[in-house]
Amino acid sequence: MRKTDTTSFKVTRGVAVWMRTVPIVLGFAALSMAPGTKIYFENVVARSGISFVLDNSATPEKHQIETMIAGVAVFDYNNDGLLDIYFVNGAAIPGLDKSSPRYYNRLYRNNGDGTFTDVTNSAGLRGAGYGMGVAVGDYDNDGYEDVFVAGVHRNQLFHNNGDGTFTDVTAKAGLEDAHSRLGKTWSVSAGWFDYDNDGYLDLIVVNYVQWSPEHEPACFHGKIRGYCSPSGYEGQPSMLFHNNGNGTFTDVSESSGIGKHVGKGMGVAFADYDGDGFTDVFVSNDSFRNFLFHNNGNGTFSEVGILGGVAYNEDGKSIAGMGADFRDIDNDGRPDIFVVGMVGDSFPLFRNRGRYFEDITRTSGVAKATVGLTAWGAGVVDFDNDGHKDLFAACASILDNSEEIDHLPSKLPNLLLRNLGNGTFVDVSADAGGGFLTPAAHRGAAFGDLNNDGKMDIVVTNLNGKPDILINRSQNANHWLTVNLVGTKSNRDGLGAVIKVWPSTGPVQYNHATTSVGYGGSSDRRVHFGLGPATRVDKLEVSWPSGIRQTLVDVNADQILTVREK
Amino acid sequence: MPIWILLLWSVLAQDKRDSRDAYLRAARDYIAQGNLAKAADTLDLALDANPDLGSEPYLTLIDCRLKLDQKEKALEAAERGIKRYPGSGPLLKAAGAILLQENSTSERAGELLERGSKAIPQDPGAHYAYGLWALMNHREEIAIAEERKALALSPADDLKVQALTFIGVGEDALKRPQRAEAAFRDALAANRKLPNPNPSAALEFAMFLTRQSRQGEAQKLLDEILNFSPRFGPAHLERAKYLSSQGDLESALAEAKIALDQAGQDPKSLRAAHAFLARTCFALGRTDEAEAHQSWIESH
Repeated sequence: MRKTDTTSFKVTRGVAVWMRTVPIVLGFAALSMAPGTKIYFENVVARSGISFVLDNSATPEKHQIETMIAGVAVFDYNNDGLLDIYFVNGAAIPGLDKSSPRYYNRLYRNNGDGTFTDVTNSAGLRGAGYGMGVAVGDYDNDGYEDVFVAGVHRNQLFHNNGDGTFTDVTAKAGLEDAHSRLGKTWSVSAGWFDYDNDGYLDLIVVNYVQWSPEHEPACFHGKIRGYCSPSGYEGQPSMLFHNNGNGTFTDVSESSGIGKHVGKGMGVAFADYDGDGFTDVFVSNDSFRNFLFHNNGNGTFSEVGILGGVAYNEDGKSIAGMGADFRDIDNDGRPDIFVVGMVGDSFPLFRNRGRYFEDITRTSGVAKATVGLTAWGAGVVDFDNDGHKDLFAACASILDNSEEIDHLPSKLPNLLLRNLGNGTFVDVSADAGGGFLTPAAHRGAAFGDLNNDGKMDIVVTNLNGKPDILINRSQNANHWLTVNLVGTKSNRDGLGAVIKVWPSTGPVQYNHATTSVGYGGSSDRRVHFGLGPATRVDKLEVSWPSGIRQTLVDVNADQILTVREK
Repeated sequence: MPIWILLLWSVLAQDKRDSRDAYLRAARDYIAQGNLAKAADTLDLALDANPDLGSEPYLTLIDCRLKLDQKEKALEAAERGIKRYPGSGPLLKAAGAILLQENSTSERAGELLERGSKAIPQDPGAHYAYGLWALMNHREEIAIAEERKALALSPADDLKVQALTFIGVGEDALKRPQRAEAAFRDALAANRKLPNPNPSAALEFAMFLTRQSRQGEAQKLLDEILNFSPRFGPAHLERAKYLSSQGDLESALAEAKIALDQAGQDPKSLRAAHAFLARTCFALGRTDEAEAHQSWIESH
């Protein structure tokens, strides 16, 4: 066993002693919101019937994988119109054995009455190995959502049979083989998107570092053992698989250019940032520059993170990138990027200016709210339906003993930043309910409307604890519209479709269909809009990946609207 | 050598030293002649022969070694001295400061500096240094208290500027922006009195204002900084970012180039400037230039 004290994962404040820059633990008193405008969540896990505990199999050896799990998905597996929840889980270490029920991944069916039923066994979704992230998408366009689980040295694709059961089709799909050069990979996240607009969802698998329990370095700070810094491991490139349309996939990592870029991948998010009709890919890396893969439209990608201005933070420094979301925060039709990181980083917010991105982390107020935090899951979601997408971060330290090593709490409360609609955000966590006051070892997060009341809810995993099921109880008179896309020429989920709405009052809004949000998570594929006071949408335009542009007029607010591509 | 450590050493230099010993006098002669290497060797020999010469020879030796850029030997001398004189505040302070400069998260540095501040409670430098360590290690309340002690003990404006700035940083970290702003404002007032104002300290205030989404005030302060330090690269880069946010990419590019020119060999400043230039050149369609900046980043 290698012993070192040079790679121990130590959080440094990084106060530049000569005072060039001093990263600061910042905070901002939550604005006292007027009654009725407050964003408020209730954590209902206690009465939800959900007993899942995220089990990382913590060991004294502090294996790196322990602190990295895990993602969660919200999706409708049985097409009853209700979002169900799928939790990814760990396995015994060092064997990565999942045979004990404590390590099963768990699928909970939404009963529609605020409770959930564990259907893991009947669904056949307990999984194998040490899971990390999850990506949901209907890869065979049969109308049922399929599940891909990214994990340590083993990924799995589960085909939804449409009868409440799933079949492991990893081998049949051609996704079982180890990486041609790297062997077994440690995959943290994955995402479904149709990069060539052929109507079938392709798959990107985001890999982290080379790791094996036999070669785990021992990292100490003084005499205290902690999880190692990522600098102690070799990075890995991501992998791209083209969907052949017949249930199989072809590894196009090299030919596409994706596989040429070695990073330490964590989060993945999609959007067509330059409006050329092809979905681009953002990959956040841990202590390495972020990647922005521009889709060239010919099956290849160009990595333009540095040129685009999203590789580093404002100081030209790599951050410990974790979860990410790629959404339009200012309704200018250009998707922006929100990434979370670790204490001292601030969580970068990159505003899309068309050809490049502007780092608005400081000017937007995000820096002062986030520089003292570490987060994993992240999302850009309009929680109060005021027409401005807000920011969420699932916060916790990386170390489970950071009190000893860094003099910082290992457990943190979640963060909610309200978008004031003027380019600035304000921390409203303190007023957002119990789920935002309780420190915990939060990890992945998924977003969706679990009770179909038009308000976006959040599911957050907690390391060695029960999840937070945060039901949005915000009381306001704002209206909403949720669009359920059904592709016919495009992929059936409509992932990649861009929706523009003209509310009867208020500014034009944009959003797009994606399930890849945050850290190893998969969110509601339906596209949500907060409409503020507007009771109607004058016009709604869907730009499908197929190129079809579809317009609807005079759409009532406060409904889940199904739009079939035609 | 960073500004803060120079300040520390200027405070250290105020310690009274006993020059009765012949070795010391010889060493001082060498120092006077500019022969620091010989002075250090002489002191080493003297201390080898008799480690009980008092704390002063150790301090002089540390000083020589640092000036010779022999940090490891300086630290070794400090640790030797502390072993012999564990209650010597100046030695504790010196050893802690060296360790802090080498590794901002060193627990040993914190321990030594804490002991130093207690051993010489009337020494502003000891409190300043311990406060700085505390600030860098997420112990903001201690940092603020120590910097306030330093302020109470020293009327020196340069120390005042830095200590108040650190207090501002600490208060901000503790989510007390009003107190932070008050400290930054006091620091700025003291800074304006300096014959050569400290642009880094003032820039911290400007950054604070930016984070408060008060860009107008931040820009005004940047104007002032660039007025008294026209070649201060980091302020030019901040100006460039502001111009870029206003859509004036050409002016932003010009400012960022000044920032790059002024970055010297400082890797952080170079990196920040190249990253901004890569993005801005790309945005302006100057792909070759953008790629040159990208190449620099990738190769460093």
